[in-house]
Amino acid sequence: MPTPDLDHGAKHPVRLWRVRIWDLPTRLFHWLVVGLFAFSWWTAESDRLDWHILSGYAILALVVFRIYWGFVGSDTARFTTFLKGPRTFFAYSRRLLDRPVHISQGHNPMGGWSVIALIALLLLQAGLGLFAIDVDGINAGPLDNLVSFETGRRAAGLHGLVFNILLMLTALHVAAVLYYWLWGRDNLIDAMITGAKLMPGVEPPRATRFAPLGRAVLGLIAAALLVACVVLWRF
Amino acid sequence: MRLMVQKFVILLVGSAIVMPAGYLAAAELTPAEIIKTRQEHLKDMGASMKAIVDQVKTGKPDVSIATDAAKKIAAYSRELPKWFPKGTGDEAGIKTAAKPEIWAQPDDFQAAAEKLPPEADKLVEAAATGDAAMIGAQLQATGKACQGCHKVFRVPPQEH
Ligand code: HEC
Ligand code: HEM
Repeated sequence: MPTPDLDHGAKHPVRLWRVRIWDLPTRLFHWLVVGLFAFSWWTAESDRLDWHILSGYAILALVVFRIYWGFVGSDTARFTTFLKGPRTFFAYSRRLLDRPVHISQGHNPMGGWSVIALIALLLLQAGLGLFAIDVDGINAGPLDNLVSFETGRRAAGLHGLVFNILLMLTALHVAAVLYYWLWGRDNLIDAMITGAKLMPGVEPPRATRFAPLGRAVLGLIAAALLVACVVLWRF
Repeated sequence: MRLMVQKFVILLVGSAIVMPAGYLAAAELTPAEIIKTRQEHLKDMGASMKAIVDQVKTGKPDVSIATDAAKKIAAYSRELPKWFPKGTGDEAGIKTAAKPEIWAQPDDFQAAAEKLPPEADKLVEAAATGDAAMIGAQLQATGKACQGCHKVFRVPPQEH
């Protein structure tokens, strides 16, 4: 759907095209993780460890699903689409100060790496929690019986360390998103909510290839089952 | 007979020398050594709690493992107040999570410490039943006694 002619009658007028870029599973994943991440933080601080553990299982299942979706999901969700080599990365970094910024139809070449870092750290964080034990020896992750008390304590220590790294990375992530919005005039948040954004161009941009929703549902069920097996199985 | 008397005398003299020496050595434990030792004991106590948690998780707790661990906790719990003599806080110059409040409010610390032995004794009793639900419930109660003291008298680590 073309919008007003931006070049006032030039031969090849640049128009804004509304394109769908994020599929529903990716958006749901994102906002659920935001909510659960905050919830995990709060329940840890306020000593509601049973809720904290449940929230961790949910994050674990979501992240496992997201990794699966990174291989078989829609274009913009795939790792092969958004993980770019160093050349593209540095070329893009030199244009970071442009105003307005270069508009990407998905993750930009730098943002892609922050996405993979966030996903990997979330996986690590939830994984460490499975083995962690508190100092009193009563609140323990479900796989804690596979390790010694000391190892469980070390897992708990790392769980704290990785959380702090995640907090810093999240701050950077939110700062970058705000920067794109306020300086770069590219509202990424709106796109992450509605799934669509306005892309400037003479020609309509190529359409994003979306994966069928059923594939996401299957993947989510499989991820949830996997996590359920890991936490419920008596090893 | 003479040999026995001789041996006896040697033993007597020997112990007269060795025992005070041992006593003195014990009295001369440096604050750093005291802190290290108590941290070892505390870790062992945590490991004993975990050993019981692990048993509960199996659904069919092993009575002897659970009872041994519970007895260890009960024995430690009676020693615990002695592990914190004056001078074994931060001023000892070695990493410790013991808060100065231990020495600023000794009565409160003592009260917190006294909550543990009764719970630990009940844990021994529960362990003897071999009943996972009962042991689990008493584990929580015992853990609360640990936690009650840690919340006030121990510097919390960054862990969740
Ligand atoms: C009366 C107070 C009190 C009670 C009760 C208590 N603790 Fe502690 N605990 C402490 C203090 C103080 C420290 C910090 C010691 C230090 O760092 O020097 C500590 C530290 C620990 C540590 C960490 C040791 C290390 O350095 O790694 C463990 C493990 C531990 N306690 C387990 C337990 C368990 C398990 C119980 C209950 C069965 C318990 N504690 C009951 C006061 C207490
Ligand atoms: C209120 C705070 C947040 C806002 C406004 C926000 C916003 C966004 C936006 C706009 C994107 C898309 C980026 C792009 O266009 O390339 C995104 C992606 C992402 N964000 Fe956030 N975010 C927030 C918090 C978080 C938190 C707390 C986490 C996890 C710890 C997180 C993890 C991610 C991940 C993993 C992606 C990639 C999504 C995907 O491709 O699946 N975000 N975020």
